[in-house]
Amino acid sequence: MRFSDRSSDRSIRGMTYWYALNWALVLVFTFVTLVQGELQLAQVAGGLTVTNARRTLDLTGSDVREQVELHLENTGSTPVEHYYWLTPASGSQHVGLVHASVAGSGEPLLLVKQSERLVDPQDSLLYDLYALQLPSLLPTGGQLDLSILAVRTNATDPLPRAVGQFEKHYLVYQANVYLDSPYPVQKQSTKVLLPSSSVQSFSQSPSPTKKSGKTITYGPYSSVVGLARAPLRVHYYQETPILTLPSVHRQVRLSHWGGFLTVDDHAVVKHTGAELKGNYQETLRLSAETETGFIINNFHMEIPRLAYDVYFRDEVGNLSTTTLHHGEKAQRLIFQSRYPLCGGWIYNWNHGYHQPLSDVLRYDPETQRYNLQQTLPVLMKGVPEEQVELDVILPEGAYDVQVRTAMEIDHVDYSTYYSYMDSVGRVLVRFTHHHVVSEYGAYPIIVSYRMDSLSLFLKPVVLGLALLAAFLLASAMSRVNFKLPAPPSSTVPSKKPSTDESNEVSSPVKRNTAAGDLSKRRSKKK
Amino acid sequence: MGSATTAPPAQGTQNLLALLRVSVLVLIAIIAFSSRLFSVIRFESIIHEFDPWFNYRSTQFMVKEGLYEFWNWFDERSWYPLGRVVGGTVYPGLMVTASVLHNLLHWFNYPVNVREICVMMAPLFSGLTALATYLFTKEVHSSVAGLFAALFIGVAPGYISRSVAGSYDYEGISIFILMLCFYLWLKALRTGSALYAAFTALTYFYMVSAWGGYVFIINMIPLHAFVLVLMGRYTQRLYVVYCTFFVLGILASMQIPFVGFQPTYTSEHMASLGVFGLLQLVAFYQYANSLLPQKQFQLLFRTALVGTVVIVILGFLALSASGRIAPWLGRYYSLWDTGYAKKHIPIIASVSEHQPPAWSALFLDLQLLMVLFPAGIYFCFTRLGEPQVFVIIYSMFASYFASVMVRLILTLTPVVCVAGGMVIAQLLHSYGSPEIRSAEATVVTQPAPSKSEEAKPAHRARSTLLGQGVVLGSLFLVISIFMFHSTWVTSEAYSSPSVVLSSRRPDGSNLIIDDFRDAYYWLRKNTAPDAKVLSWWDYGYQIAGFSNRSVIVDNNTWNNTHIATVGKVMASDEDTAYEILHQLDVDYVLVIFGGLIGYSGDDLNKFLWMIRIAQGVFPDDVRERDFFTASGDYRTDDQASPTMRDSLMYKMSYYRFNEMFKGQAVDRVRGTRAPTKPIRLDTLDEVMTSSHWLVRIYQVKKPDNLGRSLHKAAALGKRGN
Repeated sequence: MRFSDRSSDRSIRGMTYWYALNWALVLVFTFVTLVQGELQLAQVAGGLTVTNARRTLDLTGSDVREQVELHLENTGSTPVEHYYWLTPASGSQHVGLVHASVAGSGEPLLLVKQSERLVDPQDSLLYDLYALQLPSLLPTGGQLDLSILAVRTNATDPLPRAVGQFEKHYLVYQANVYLDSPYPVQKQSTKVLLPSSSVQSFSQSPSPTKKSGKTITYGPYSSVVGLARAPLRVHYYQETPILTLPSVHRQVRLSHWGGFLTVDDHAVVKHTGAELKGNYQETLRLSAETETGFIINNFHMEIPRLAYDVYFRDEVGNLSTTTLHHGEKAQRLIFQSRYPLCGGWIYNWNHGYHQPLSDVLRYDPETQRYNLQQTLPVLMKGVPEEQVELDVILPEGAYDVQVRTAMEIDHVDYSTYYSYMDSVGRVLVRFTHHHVVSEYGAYPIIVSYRMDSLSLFLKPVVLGLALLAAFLLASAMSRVNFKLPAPPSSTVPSKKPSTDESNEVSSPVKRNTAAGDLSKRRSKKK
Repeated sequence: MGSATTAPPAQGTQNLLALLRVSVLVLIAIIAFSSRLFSVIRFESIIHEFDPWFNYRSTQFMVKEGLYEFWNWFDERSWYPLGRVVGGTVYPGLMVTASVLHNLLHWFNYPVNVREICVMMAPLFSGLTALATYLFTKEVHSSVAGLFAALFIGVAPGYISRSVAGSYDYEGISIFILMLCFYLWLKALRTGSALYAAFTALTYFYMVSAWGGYVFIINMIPLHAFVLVLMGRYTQRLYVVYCTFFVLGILASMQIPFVGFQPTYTSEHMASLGVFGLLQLVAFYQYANSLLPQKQFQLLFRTALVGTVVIVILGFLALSASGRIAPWLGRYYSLWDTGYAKKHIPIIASVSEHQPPAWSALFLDLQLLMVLFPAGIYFCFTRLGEPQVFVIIYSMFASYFASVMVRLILTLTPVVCVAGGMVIAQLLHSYGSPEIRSAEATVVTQPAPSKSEEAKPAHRARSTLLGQGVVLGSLFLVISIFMFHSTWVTSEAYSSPSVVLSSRRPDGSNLIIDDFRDAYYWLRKNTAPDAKVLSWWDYGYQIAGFSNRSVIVDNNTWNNTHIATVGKVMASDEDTAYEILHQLDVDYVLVIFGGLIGYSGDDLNKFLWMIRIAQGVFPDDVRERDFFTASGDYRTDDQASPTMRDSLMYKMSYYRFNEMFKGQAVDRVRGTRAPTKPIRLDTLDEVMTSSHWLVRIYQVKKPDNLGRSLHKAAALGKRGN
């Protein structure tokens, strides 16, 4: 796994410096975005030709997965260093992930999103540009097989936008029939995988197109020029709900004392399919013969195999329907939302667990550093997450914090966090990222820090000192007499001898005497 | 109680005893705390019942916004469209305590949720109550009695019933304050110290800020003083202590906005004022007595006495007649006349905890203590000091109140525990000490209620030992049984959050019925933030707390008319109800229906009270008689009266119920067949029915575009189809 070194080797000590630099960078970026550079086709398309492209668009899940198998050839005169991957910049869809590798090997290639965009001269459509670094310079005439996966979120639209509780739900997907490529493509085909074989309509040009069962095949087409476009539109029946997690917040807290990691997630799930028309009626649903399957109230999550003390709550308390199932690799947390989730509805919750530190933390005796491995939280398989925050809270006394990530993270911030009777506070590293898809679960984030074993005893010492101070204070107080000096004469009424007891602190002897007297009196009466 | 020969223990032994006492007390506090955690372990850390939800919500507000904002808090979420000035209509002591605790812990960087603090508040203060009861009993009797009293109050179901974890209510902390206040009062009286009297006043202030039951203190202490004067036990100490307490306490209590100037004019506070005046007269009498010769003094005294009595009575009558002295609140009237509420204020009578308790309830709550109680009072009479007089008065009044209103068993419990502790201590003292075998045994055990004293001197030693064993053994046995009983009652009767229900599946596994929260959460997440929800007032606080939506009426039943209006909505036919719903700008109507799973506390069972309350305000529109069948039965099946069948409550409860079960539906609460005729709802839309049908939420339809009644519009639509 190659690590981009964008945020590496930063110590807390130099943070002020870093912040200044960061701000400078942010300013520069803002400027760049404002006057965002536009590139022309000729500037990027030099040299390469795609001799064969097989493209698969997978529409079965909540996100759209585009898998492309490319066969490249350098038909230019100079060796080529980069392949440029394009994706349309307009529209509401977001690219969650682009992952490229040489076909046959899993080794990912370095992909850098360019700040400039490519513009199509015909209709000034803009493309986002990713520069893919080839494993080695491709010499003239050289050939290479690439495999690229792009996952897009928010790429489908419900049509009609709102349907009744018992009506069927259809989605529309629009894209380009051809591969978005700056290079000419000699031969290509596009296959669309659907969740069911039921389709309202699909674009039938350019031919050949073919639908068989759950797949629609466009092509093969030959000799397609760069940036060629033809609309692809599929209006298909979706029987499973379309879900999105609009926000996921994970807090990870390390405890060297307890030897565990505390994981606490807050999440919101939204049904992003067609909205519900009219009111939802549970009684009708119970008595209905047919289920459309678009309403969901069962959710599955995976949590680490060794996790313990699992809890699951929402704003009003425990969810008693939650169950935990043990599996080989992971445990499955299955819960039912408090109400079935219809289109446009949201449900939010909070769950968490403890995890043994040995699962995720390694000590490297050579560098004398602790390395914590985490990933961005991927809560439900196949459900894209819009905004993700991962807070890593290091133990009190950790210093010289460094972060290494396997992919670009939108923001990494440092702050100080106080918890459980901290005196100097803990380092909190916050990772913020947008449009996270399931693949991120395989991309590690390493937080590495130093910690002296003496700082383990910081808390007990502070507590002990505080207690000692309290005792000393109490001890001093008990030795000081706060009473006013006794008045000279009997001006204080309470000093007068009273009818029954004196004003001493209740002494059992006195009482006993009184009672004894009483009993004696009694026996006399007898 | 003690044998005259007991020498004061040596210093070392005393220290050891003190250590023992402290550790026993700490253990008792821990027991008191942990025996209240059943509900947390069985269910979860959740706020229980109804009223605690408001307290929880306002605590959240206070923690977030601060005390100052709290005083000015106008809660627009309740009593729509009237709203409620919370700062001026609430006893803030509980919330202030919780938020102080919260902020303190957070100041120490100890992150703890407001909810956890609120849930644990009552158990925490129960531990403290055990300590306060110890101090109080020590003041009355001895430290041994104190320890037993502390143990009893720690586990007595009568107190646990209102202080389990999650029961975040005024009573949870008030019993502690009550006992502390009484302890300080007795201590102040014994020492004659103005300082302790000031502490008593401060504690009284805390009590005023925390619970309406402060009225009990402000009547108990003057009564005690009054009785002492009547008994001829007036002392300078009493004068100093009472005057200090009264002046400081009343002034302090007036700082609570909810109480305000009430101490100057309401009848509840008049007794304390009267005793204050009386003490001045008595003090003057003594002073004059010491200055004047006997004869003139007698004359002066008689004239003054007659004059004062006449003036006081005339003054009181005049002030009462002119309305200067406010009449007693309805709830207090029902303390004197148990039938009062039923006749005049249905809203008070409709609350089950305002009913007189059954004898079995008293036994369930006090068990062994019921038996020990009279004996303890007897011991108070045998040594009638000032503290004993106090206990006697306290027990008399608390017994009366407890027999009138179920919830006041709570105030009786502490004194019963004190008396119980005294009895056990007395028995232990008589039978527990080894010296009993000596010759004085007869003398010592005389006051104890035992009958094993006829043994002959020769066999005395052995038979006494045997008697000792029997008495101590049975004592141990009954106390153990009491402990088991308390634990059992706590776990069975008092540890249900009532928001979450628990049931058994056919295979015996536990089934949590979470309908309330499911439905409330649905409201919270899927309705407009400014939606108005109409329900019976019982659920007002919960809806505000769980759903964060505006409610029309809630558990702070300050506006009877508003509640009656809601009752009228439920009792009227659809068209009338729709008109009111529209006027009140209601978006959703929520009803509780237990017919499917047999939840007997549902709205149809409360319906009679709604009708009665509505009838009290709208006698022309709602008549209780119409809801009964010709033979005078309250029926909900096909034989129900036409008015009943037309009522909105009835329709909302049974809507689609029969169709669901293909015409075989049985109402398990009322044990009858559900109405078989299909129910039509034209003005409301069903939007949410929880999985066990406990909660049903309906949306109020928008008015018809053509201005027809929705009824007619629907009928037309039907014909069109």
